[in-house]
Amino acid sequence: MDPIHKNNANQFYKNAYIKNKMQGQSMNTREQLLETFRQVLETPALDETASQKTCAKWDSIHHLNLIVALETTFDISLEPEEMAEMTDFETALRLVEGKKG
Amino acid sequence: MLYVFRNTTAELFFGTEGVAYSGYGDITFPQTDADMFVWFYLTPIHADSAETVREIESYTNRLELVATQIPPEKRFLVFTLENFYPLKMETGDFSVELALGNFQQRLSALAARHTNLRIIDFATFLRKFPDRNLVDWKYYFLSETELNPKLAAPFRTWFTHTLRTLDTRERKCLVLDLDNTLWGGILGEDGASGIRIGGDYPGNAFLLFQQQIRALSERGVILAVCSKNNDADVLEAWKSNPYLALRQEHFAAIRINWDNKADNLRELAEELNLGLDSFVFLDDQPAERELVRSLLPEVTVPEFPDKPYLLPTFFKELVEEHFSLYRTTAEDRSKTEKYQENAQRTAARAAFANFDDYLKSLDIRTDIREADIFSLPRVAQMAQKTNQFNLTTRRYTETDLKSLLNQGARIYTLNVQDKFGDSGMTGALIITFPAKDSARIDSLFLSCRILGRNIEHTFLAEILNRLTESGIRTVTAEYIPTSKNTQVRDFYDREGFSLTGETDGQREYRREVGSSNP
Repeated sequence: MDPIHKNNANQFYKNAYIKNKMQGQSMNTREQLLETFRQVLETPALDETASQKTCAKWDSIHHLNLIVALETTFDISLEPEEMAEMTDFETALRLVEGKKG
Repeated sequence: MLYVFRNTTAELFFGTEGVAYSGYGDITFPQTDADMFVWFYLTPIHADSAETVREIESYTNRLELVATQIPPEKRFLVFTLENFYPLKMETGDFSVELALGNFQQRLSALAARHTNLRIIDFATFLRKFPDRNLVDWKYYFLSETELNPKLAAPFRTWFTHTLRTLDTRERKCLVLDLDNTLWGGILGEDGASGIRIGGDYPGNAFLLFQQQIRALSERGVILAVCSKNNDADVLEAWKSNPYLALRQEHFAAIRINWDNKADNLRELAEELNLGLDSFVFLDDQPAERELVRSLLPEVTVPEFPDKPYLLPTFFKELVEEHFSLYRTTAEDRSKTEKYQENAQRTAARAAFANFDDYLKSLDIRTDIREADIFSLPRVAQMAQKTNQFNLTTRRYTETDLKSLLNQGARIYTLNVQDKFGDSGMTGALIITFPAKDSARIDSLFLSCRILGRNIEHTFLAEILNRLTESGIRTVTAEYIPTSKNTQVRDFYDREGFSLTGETDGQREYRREVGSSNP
C-alpha cells in the first residue's frame, strides 16, 4: 500500500548497508566515498568526475541525502558553508579527508 | 500515491517515489490521482511568540479548508503540531501552548466531521528522542528541513507501523499466566490473602498492571488465563481477595491445570475459535516462554520484565506493538461479554436432544438492514477478519466500502439476538448491480459465533426477498476457495442456486428470483 514502504531508495538503510559493506572490506576513503555517492545518487557507474552539473540525479533533495550520508557514514560534521560548496566528488573527498585526518 | 501538504522540506521523510508535495504552505488543491493525503505542517520558528501564534492560527484555517476539498473516500492523515523550539522569553507566556491546544481542539472537531480524517499523534514518535536531537539547525538554514534528517529512518519505520494500525484489524487475544505475572508471589504457597496485589510495592505495581489489562479488555481485547495452579485455589482467590482488578468474569476462557502450556494454548484457541496467531502470551517464567515459542511459533511471546516496577513501560510498549487500534467500535467494547454468552449457548445445546427444539428455545431474532455510516467500520472489521464463513474473502477496508457504495453497491448487515444475549452485528452481504434487473453477491460473510442456528439461510432468504421486491430477476454469486472456507463450498448449492461454471475450484452460480419462490 504505502509508497514509503515501497520506496526502496531509503537513503538511511542504504547508509547502514554502505557502512557494513565497508567494514567488511578494507577500502580507503576514496573508495568508500565513491561507494556512498553511487548508492545515494543511484548511479552505479558514477566515477570521480561526478559533479552536480554533470550528474542528472544530483538534484537538491539528493544533495541533502548526500550530505546526511556523508555525516553519518564517516561520522563527521560538515559546516553549512561546506555543505553548500560540495558540488562535486573531489571537493567532497577533500572535505571528508580533512575532517577524518 | 501519496500527496503531502507541507510547510517545510519533507522529502527526506516521505521519500520521492510515489509521493508528491505541495508548495511550501500552499494549499491549492492539486490535480492528482493520489489515494491518500497527508498534512505535515511543523510549528514555525519565529523570534516573537505572537507571530508563532498568528501563523499557527493561519495553519488551522488552511487545514479546515483543505479537509473540505479532499474526496471523502480518500484517506486524509493529519499530523498533530508539536513545538520543536519552545523558546520562552517570559516563562509565564503560554500563548503558543494555547495556540497549539486550540489547533488540537479544532483538529478533533474536524476529525468528527470528516470520517476520512485520521489524526497522527506525532508526539508518540518525537518522544523517543531527546529534545536537542529534534532539530539540526544546519539543515534548517540550508534547506528549510525543520526536523532532523537523521531521524528519517526511524520516522519511516514508525509511520509505516502507524499506517497499519489505522486500518481496522483483528484484535489480538491476551493470554495470561497468574503467579508473578498478574500478582506477586505464588498462590499455592502464599494463599489467597498472601499474594501481593494492591497495598505497598510490589502489590501496587501489579494492581496497576491488572487495571490496565482490564481497560484494554473493555476495548475489545479478549483475555484468557493459562496457569499452573489448582483451580480451586484460583477460584478461591478470585472470590475472596478484595484487591484484584481481574477476576473470573473478566476472562473469556480459562485453563488452570498442571499440563504443558502449549497444549493448553491450543485448546484455548479452539475454544475461543481464534487462530493461534492472534494470541499474545505473557508469562514471567523464561522456561514457559521458550516452550511456547518453540512449540507454537505463531503465538507472540514478548519478553516479560523481571521487576514489577518495569511493568508500566512494558505495558505501554505492549499496547503500541500489538494492541494498537485507531478507534474501537461499541461492539469491540462488549466483545468479552459476547464470548462468555457463547460459552453459555454451547452448554445449553448439550441439554437438548433435538436440534430444532434447541433452535426454538433460543428465541432467535434477526435484524437485517442496510449499512450506514455507523455500522460501516464494523462491516470492514468483519471483512478483514472473517475466514471460515466467507464466500469470496475480499478484505475490504472502510474506505473500500465507501467506494463501493458510491458506485451503487448495496451493503446489508445482520444483527442477531437470542435469549442469551445480543450477538450484535454478525454478518454482512455486499451486492452490486451489473445490469438493470440483475444483482450480484460480491461478498457474504458471517461470524462463526452465530453458525449452527440456520441463520445463514434466513439472512440470504430475506435479502433475496428484498431484491425481488425491488425488481431484480436474476442473482449471480461466486465462491472463491481459500484454505479456511471449505465449509461453505456448497453453500449456494444448498440455497437453491445453480452452478454455472467452475474453474480451479472457483465457482459461479445463478438463481432466477421473482415469480419463482421460496
